[in-house]
Amino acid sequence: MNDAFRVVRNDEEQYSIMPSDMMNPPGWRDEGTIGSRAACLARIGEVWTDLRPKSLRESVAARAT
Amino acid sequence: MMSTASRYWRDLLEDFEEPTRLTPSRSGHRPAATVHAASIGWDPAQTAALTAVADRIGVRAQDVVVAAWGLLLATHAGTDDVVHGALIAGDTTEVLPVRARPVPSRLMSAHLRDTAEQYAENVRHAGLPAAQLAEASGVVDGAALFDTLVRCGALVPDPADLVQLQVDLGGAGAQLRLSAPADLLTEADVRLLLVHASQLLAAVAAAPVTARLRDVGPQSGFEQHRAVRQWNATGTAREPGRCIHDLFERQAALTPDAVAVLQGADRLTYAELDAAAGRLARRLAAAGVGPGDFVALHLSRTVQTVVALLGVLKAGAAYAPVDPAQPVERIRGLLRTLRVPVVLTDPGALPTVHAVTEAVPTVREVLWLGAPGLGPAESWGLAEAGSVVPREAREADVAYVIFTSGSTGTPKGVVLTHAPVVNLIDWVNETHAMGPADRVLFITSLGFDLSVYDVFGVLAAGGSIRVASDAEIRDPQRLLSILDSEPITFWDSAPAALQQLEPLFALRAANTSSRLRLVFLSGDWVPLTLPDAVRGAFSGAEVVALGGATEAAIWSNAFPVGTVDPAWTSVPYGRPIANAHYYVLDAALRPAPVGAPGDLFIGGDCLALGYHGDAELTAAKFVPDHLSGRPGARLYRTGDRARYWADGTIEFLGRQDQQVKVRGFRIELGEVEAALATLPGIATAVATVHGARAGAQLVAYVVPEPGVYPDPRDVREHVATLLPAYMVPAHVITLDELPVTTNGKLDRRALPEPGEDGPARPPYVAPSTAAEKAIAATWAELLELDQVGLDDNFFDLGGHSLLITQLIARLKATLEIDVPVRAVLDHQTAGAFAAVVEAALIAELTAPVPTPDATVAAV
Repeated sequence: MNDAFRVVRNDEEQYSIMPSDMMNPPGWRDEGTIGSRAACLARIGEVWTDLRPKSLRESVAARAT
Repeated sequence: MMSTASRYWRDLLEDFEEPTRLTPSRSGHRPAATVHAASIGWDPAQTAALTAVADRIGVRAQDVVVAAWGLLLATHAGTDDVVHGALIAGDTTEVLPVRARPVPSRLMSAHLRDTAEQYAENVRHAGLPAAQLAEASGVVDGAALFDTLVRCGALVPDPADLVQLQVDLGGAGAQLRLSAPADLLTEADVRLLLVHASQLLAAVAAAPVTARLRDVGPQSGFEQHRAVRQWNATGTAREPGRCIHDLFERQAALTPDAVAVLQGADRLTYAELDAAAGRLARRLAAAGVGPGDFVALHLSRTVQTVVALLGVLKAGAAYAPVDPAQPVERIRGLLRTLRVPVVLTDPGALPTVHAVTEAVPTVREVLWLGAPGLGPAESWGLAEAGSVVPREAREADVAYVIFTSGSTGTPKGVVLTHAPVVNLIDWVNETHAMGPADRVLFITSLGFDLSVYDVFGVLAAGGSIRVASDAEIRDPQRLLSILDSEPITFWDSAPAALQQLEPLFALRAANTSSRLRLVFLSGDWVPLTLPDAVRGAFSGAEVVALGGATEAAIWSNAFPVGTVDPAWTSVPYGRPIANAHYYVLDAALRPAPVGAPGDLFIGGDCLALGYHGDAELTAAKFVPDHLSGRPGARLYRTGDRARYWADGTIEFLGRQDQQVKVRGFRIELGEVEAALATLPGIATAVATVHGARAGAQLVAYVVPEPGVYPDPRDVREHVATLLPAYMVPAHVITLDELPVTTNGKLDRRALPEPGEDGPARPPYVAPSTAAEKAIAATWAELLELDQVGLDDNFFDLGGHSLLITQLIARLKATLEIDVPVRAVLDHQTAGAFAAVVEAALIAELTAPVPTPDATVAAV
């Protein structure tokens, strides 16, 4: 059960986890990490530092004074 | 001496605690002593395919049948750990338990081989009586280990007390027969289960060697399509690009002179509200606030609350409500984690807020709202800031963050953008024809997301908001009097808030002049008697039960409550609203069959962004949407258990985790336990809920370190410094050790009921005066106690807000006096309260007899 999940990411750079034996739904790609649920979530905790979707981050930055 | 057989069965079954039970899709009347049965015949080719797959895997076709029954039960009972009976004729004449723990990612072939091996071992260890097998397992004493059975061999008569699948593989084509006693399953359930058994066996027979368990399911393509698509055909076109406050601004342009918000004589028209919110937005912009910022609202309930909400959104920022009654450290934590630059408050609260924010470096300004002159001019939020133009919000911007209880001990902030909220507002306003004549009695805290619709939804429809004051909210009599005397058309609350008024309904004639037309109840179980009680008290009121989650924009499912079906165990969740998708999924993330418990997921245009600053929790709860086909979409895993009815209606079955609701408040028991554990001298602590639904109370159990004797009062006070009032346990019970099951797990059922060992009661002081005797008797009856002494405290005895209203209603009925709720809060012992009642009785005798109308006006 140590490789039960994969870390996945969508075009908005939102992260989540997928059971490792399921195909990615459209718009989701593997981030590269495979492991237990806890290990995958811990990886996400490290790399996903801004939870806003990419388009929102960019639109806020564009409007910043 | 334990025999080898006993040891074998103990190893297999010891940690199996919850017997696998199928539930009928329809509850209610259950005809006695009949058995429903149905049969299907397979053609020889199908049967040959099943045998061929068994050969390929290296098991017998009979083993495949046994394994399929376990898989089918797992899906239909909504569990991943099944025990059922099995008998393969020729192997044994005895029905033997088989344990199945299907893992969706496992290879089907491996699971089938495991099952065959286990069955063979079980046969080798046959011979123990059923009672001894049950005893070897973890199921509670006296409960049957299983009540479902699969039997391979020549067909035999249907049993009267078991759900049974029979498969006769003897002929050229297999015969399948399913039977169940009528008190276990309905006739339709039996047919569905048989069809699913047949479909699952066919799926196994047709599966490639590489198939995993999640690839072989019992449901047809049509059934899955119906659940995924047809029951979610909620698509409704929306005008894109709108923010929450845009809806208000459009209405303000249409009806500038209409009343938008009022409280007593304090009222603002749409134009006035728009102007005030605009000034606040410019003042916030001048303070550097804009898109991406969170502005905290630390406000009492006045018309200024609405100015603040609109002003923050007009500034392009998001708002974060802060309950002023919360512990200071909790408020500071919230301000820090959100990096709040500005706090909005009332002039009277400025010193308090400054004391809080001094320790929070991100807070640049504390602004106050209200009439000019009530506070320092430089921090007046409504001062004209000149030519500064706020940066505009977009629909994808964050609009608010609401903090809810978090299981790890810290609250979690749910972050919402404008778009899903606009979708919800459009849905309510279209579905319920909300318009300028509508007025909401706004009683909900800003920290509870119903408030979002109450304010922005009602304003978007051109209606008005009657802001209930903090004092009014605490007083059911005043709230009822407002409903009776003011043109309120809309009530929106958790069931408990309305239930508080219920005992008072009977004290007044049915109100025919009331304009209340629409009642929304959400956030908790709706008591089955409440809809009729409401309709009896307010003729013409329509009752709608709604559900969803803060994470899915307020509400995303609804059920208009017509006649309450006596067979219901609860009011159903109903169906998803416009552009929302609901899925009840099994452990393999496939739609659950009709009637089977599963996990509820929400998708569509209603989801939050996630939990502020918590990537792990967000990733765990918001998962890739593998069902809608929308690229990159997510599903929110609600943690609710639910099931489909045959018409697609969804029934809520409870929680799968430790989240509980007490009077509508969402509480993670883990957070309460974490707070209890911070008290020095406490070795371990458990929190749980006692009492059903509306009467639910939070109870804490603490195990102190040796030599420590915690006073329950100290424990509650300590928790109150860390958590909001609604999360402070009503009872604290000290235990020497926590009860555990034979497997060493906490045995929640063995925790003593509060009252058995509640807070120590003061020495009994007998009541002497007539009023004291009457009060002691009334309390004893309400609180279900043998006797009540003068020094007993109402709340220590288990009294709570619902009981206060009942107490008041009884005093009105028996002594014909009106006692305000405050009297109970201010005079908590029986003796002190009796003195208040006595004074009221004397006043009653000496005062002129009031007319019924005057009585209502006076409260």
